[in-house]
Amino acid sequence: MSSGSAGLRSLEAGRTWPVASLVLALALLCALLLALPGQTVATRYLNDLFLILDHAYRVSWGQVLNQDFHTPLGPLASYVPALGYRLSGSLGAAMPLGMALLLLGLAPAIAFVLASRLHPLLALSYGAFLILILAVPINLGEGVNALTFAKFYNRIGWVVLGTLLILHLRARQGPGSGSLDAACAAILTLVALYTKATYGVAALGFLALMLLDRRQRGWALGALGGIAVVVLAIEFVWRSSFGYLADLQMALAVSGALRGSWGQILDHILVSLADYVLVTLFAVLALRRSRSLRDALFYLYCGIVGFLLINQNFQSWGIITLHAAAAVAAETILRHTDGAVVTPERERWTAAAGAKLLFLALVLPTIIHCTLALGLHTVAAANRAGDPVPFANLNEVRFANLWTWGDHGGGLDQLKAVNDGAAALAGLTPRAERVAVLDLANPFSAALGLRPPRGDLPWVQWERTVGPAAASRAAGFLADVVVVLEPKQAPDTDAARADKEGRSPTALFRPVLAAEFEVVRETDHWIVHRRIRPARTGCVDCSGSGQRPAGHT
Amino acid sequence: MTAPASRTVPTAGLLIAAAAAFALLLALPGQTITTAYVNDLFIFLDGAYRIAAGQVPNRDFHTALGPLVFYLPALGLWVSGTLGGAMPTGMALLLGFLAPVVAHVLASRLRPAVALPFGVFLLLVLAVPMNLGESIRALSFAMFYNRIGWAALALLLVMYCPPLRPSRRQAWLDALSAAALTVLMLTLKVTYGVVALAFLAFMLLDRHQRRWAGGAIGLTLLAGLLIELVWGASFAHFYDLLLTSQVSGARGFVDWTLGFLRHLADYVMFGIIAGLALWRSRSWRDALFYGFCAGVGLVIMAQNSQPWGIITVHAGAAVGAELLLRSEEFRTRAWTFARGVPLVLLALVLPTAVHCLLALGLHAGLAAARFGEPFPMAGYGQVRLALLWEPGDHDFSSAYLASLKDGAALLATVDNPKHVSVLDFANPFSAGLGLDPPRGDNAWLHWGRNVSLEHHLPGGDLLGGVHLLMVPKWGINNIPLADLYADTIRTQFEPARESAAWTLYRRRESADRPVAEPASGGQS
Repeated sequence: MSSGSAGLRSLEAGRTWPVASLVLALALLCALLLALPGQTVATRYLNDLFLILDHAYRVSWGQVLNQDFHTPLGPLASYVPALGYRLSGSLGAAMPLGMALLLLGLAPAIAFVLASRLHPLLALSYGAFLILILAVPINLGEGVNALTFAKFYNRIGWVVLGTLLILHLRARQGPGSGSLDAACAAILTLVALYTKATYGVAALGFLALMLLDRRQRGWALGALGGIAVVVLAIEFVWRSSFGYLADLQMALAVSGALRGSWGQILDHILVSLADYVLVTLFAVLALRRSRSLRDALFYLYCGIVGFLLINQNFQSWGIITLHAAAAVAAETILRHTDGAVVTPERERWTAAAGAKLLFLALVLPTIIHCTLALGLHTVAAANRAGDPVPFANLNEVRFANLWTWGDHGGGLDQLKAVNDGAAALAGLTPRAERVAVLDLANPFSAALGLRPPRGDLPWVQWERTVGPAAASRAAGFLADVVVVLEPKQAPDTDAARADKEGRSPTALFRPVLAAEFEVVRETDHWIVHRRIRPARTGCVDCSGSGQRPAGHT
Repeated sequence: MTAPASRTVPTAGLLIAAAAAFALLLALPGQTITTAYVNDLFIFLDGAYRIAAGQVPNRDFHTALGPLVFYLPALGLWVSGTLGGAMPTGMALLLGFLAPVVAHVLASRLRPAVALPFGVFLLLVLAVPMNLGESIRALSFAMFYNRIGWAALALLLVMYCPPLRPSRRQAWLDALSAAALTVLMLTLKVTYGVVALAFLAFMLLDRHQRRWAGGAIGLTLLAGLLIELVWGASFAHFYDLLLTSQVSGARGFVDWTLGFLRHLADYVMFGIIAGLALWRSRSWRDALFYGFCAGVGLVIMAQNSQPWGIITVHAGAAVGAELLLRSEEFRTRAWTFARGVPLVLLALVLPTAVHCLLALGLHAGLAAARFGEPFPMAGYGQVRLALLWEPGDHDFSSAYLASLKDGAALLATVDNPKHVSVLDFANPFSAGLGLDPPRGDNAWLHWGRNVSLEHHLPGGDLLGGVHLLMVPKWGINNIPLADLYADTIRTQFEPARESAAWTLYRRRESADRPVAEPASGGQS
């Protein structure tokens, strides 16, 4: 292993601690870049941002997930921004600070797993790849200027799973540390389970696969045991595990386990064709050396499960399990070359030498892409780019046009609709509270500092969170709600036609609205419904303005 | 093919065999299957038909695309005998013409580990009936000239690499190959041709390769003179180019930046290879070459209507990989990294090769199965619109074809229709109904691309040779065109028939210019 430079040579030496500390340092740097400006800059997907901030705001009111509001997302998707909100007191800092903290929390596990399993060059490049994916405020597969924290939970899921899968490899040196392996595997799987359940299931499946390896069975069993204990402990405190399961079941019923027509599925696979081709190339080169059935099973698992996961996401590109499979394959190729006696044959090229370069070629574009996007967010946030969302509570959330003309017009229209709704709510007497919105997000509670309702569904999206299968729960979702904002559909649009045919959230809630609410106002964008009688389950002790959001101190 | 060493023989032979296989996949079914850009296809079919009717590009009709864009499908039409065979057979013939050049250039300059993957990749880019960067279900011959331009330019750029084992005839074969590629680009789409000439001028700086580069420039000039002697429309072509460049020439910093970011993965792989090669060679000329591949490709891509595919980057990577491997041959301690470089090149070209092979196979399968609906009008019996797993713009395409059917029915009510033109994107009626084509009009009218409010042909010129003018009520860019030429239509034409989708205008008897007028040069 002779290399061209001293720096590369020290990497080849195979010591783990410099690799681990470099990964940790990068995580710290990314966390600072995210959190220091204390601002959120978005160029698209405002609704998703409002949804996340609404979740954080509700947690700050002491609401408990899957009891006080229903969401198919895991509790961490709410508690990460809620922690950021609590510490900073600003909704604009909630997401960047929350993600920075999560980054610091996960970095040791990522650093340990990669450094103990992968060649230093692979560990460093793959580590940078994972850390940057976790840090970058974009939806994977979109442009560097498509800044948004929308779908951040998908990135968490990919990174956690992408780390866990590396444990398929045995430790590079010595017998490894079974207890640290087990602890890391348990932490990563738990984060997956409580961020987005699909990733949790994939992680548990992988741990089950690990039971097939006699030499790694020990830590895998330990991890599964640890997970069981922690899940029980969480249930003891949280007491919402069954609520989480019920909400998941509803989401599964309305959106299905495999989404889209087979044509859409085929197209979606073809988006990642390049990755699949390269991983196949890697896997073939590795399997020719290892001749291991278990390895073959592992590559298949990464390829298939990765697609099943992205199929559930709002994401065109970025099956990160494929990159994990490539890392494992590259490491396998290198280990087999290290052991083999190779006669230096001039003029011949070797796959082992290529494995490192090829892996670099696979992850470096994403590393650069994410670095650019993260840097752009930091610069934009530090320079207060764009315009603040025009509510006192959301002044640190900025909507910018960074060569994103295509998204900017739509975003401005959305903000106009929010303004319009806020004005309608302000005009109501008695003062509006416990407001629900039959749309993708409810920005009003957080924007106007209103008391949020209990037991409702803050994210209403047809065939994603609601559908005909949710009809029986519709009345329950509105039981505590006093004011409902129904979005008006422009005539002669697909949305309006779907509404007429009963394929819309409004159509689903219409019986409840007709029976228990009256229309009190109509604006350009909204129909405002107010409860006729006082809410059935409204609690006496928390009515009025007695309780303040915990974030405001 | 030319080098005496035995190991180059299989490379050349394999590449020629691959080209033959791809050409057969394209041409044998004798059908054109399309799922996207139906209107673009009509430009080439109409062009092929005009050539068959004796017209000459830029003399009898205006076009900013080179004459070969029309002669190639015309050749396909002549060989296959049907409009459905025009595009696939034309492209297959081109593959046959280029295969020896591919084999000579790659086998004489690159080792098999580099030449084979890169060569198969180039042949597939040429052969695939799909706009680069789109889904395999977006089958279309639209913008085929861009794919030819990319492949030819990439091949020419590989000649930067000195031959592995020069033969006696090397310089002559090199000069011939380079000249053939340059003339191909110049007569296809001038953007590529200009870049090719710039590259040849750059090659004059290389003392060892100066001979063939100079020879190629000389041969290109000679070919240009010959073509002008026969064609005689170079100046008319220049004026058409000028007009188009005024409409849609300029691209700016934003286009280039966003284009670069879309191709980041390619640039990174290219950067790894070129960076390692430069580290070894420390040559300014090499650095200039890699910069040329990276920069010029980006500028060309920004001009094209193409979501992905800067193929000069792949050429630069192939050259880098070859030069790097050569630099390692004479070192006692080979550099581990360098010896892995062919794998990176493979990673760069393999995904696209697989993608193109899937699309080519899909087209061949669908064509053999006669899948989809034949286009309306008798001439288009072997041209089919297919609906694949996702509709894409199928709704638009079928509505467009339905409007053509309606237009054909309207024309059938006219006695002996001829010189029919369409005031919209393309003119499908001459070829579809076998009519005598008009003269002096434009091969296609694309608002904002080759016609705009500020820059356009005068109405008298554009419609001077038109007898019947079909004005659609619904179309691609019919509204701005109808507004632009409203005066000409009112003064020179009178409405004659009307259907649900079209208004048919007939030239007024009193109009003073009923005869065809050449489109050439001076636009008085």
